[in-house]
Amino acid sequence: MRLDRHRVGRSLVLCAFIAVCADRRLWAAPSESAPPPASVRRSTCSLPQQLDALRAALSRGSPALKAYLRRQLRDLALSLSLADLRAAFVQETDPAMIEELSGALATRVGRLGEPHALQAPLQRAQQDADPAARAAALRGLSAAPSVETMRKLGQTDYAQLVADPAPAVRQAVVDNLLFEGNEVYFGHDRAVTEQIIEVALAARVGPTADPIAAARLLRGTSLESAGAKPVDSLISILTTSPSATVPELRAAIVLALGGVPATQRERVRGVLLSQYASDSSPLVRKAICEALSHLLLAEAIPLLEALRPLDVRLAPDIAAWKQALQTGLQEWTLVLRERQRLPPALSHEKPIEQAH
Amino acid sequence: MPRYPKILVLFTLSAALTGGSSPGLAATANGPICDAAAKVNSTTYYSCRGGTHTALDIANGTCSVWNHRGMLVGNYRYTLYSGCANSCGACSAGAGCCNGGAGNYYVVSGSSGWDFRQLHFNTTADSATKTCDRCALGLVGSTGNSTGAHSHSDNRQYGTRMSAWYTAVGTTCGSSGNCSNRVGTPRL
Repeated sequence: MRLDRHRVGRSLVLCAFIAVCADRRLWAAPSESAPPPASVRRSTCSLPQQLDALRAALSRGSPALKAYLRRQLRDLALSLSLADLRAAFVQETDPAMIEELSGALATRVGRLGEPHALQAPLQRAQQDADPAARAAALRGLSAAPSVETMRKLGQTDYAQLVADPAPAVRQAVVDNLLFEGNEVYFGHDRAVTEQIIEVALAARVGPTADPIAAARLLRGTSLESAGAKPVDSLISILTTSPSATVPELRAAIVLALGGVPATQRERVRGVLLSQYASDSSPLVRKAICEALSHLLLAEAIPLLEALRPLDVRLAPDIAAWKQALQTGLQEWTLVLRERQRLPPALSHEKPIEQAH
Repeated sequence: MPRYPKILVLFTLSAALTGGSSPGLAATANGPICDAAAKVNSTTYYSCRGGTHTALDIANGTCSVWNHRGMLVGNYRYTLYSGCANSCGACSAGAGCCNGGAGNYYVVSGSSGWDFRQLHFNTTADSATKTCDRCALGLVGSTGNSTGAHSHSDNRQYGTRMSAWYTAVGTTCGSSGNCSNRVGTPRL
């Protein structure tokens, strides 16, 4: 019986296959259904052809095709003359293509050790009249060692670029620095970390002040390799002009201070405790609980307990931090993950990342 | 026997497998030598059948001829530890073979204790701490605890060598160690 059922099943599948093939004329000889294929000819890939293909893909191609052609351009960029590549970049007016060509030029910095390949993108990021072009030229430098290269060239730096009147340019500055700080240097390079702090400090003042951009930079940056001077600057903003800064920026400074090197731990601990007493913003106080936990791990438990009566709104948050710290995990990322795993009932406020 | 929802079983299994360690960011590593003759000759065990090794050894049968390139695809900070005289010979004194047996080497330090190291190269005038993408770090050599010129690469967390970064992509003895071939996906 079972055998019969299998036979019937197989026959049905075969019939369906034949029907589909017949319908689509799969039996037909190639000469009846399609013209003979054109002969394949060897051709040399040129930069204009490559750019045309990428331009078309960027407007209507799939993500996979875009990624493929982008990678192909960056590979091709290594074998082209720098002058040709630079000329194509200078002539380009479409922001999407400016970003790709800027990225192709940046590839030569890491692969061929040619810092001067960044001169044209940096010049455009400073001088182009179109803010979209300025932002695109900068976005192309993402994932390149751009901080180091800018220092070698002496042409400009991110502290100047963050003063751009266009929000898209400032956004590109922040994105580049966060990627470079976290995924090229992993927070271990003092010069890059201190450049990020300098940019954050520059972003909060002046006619184009962008405290939210500054806050985003500081919140996403590890200060583990920062020296005493930039940490002093951050503390000074926190303690001397609290009313002049938005709570988001103060909270970001507090979170950044939670990651200072061990040599500055005691000083920062005192600053955070006095800030908790003087700053009534729940956003800042919530950040202080997190920063103390980061800074001191399990040693923060009695301090958090002592802070609890000062603000009942923070009691659930303090309870959650205590619970996470009591697990005895000895690495900050694990403690943070544990804290994020706790039931939402313990964290009644929105996370700071979503507060904007 | 009680039946559990599949999703719960998968979640519990993944939590057990991660074991509370930080995952780090996934990177891609290509072979260190741009020569078709470059092959993997040791992985988890020396020659794939000897003592424990838990790293990739890649060689092309030459010494101080071919560039020993950074293996990670993308820009990373390669920190140089050098001071060993260039060598194409053998040293069997273990940790006494210069720099604790590592010879001249580079480290890319990632997050949460993860790092990626490339060992035993011979230095050139260009050998220095640098941020680059698959650049020439030195020449394939035999400094440190090494019996012949090769590139040793390992991926560690808090000093413990991991094997998943190359086993996950099927790299084994005889696999290509050419610079265009992906040999692993280390964590950083």
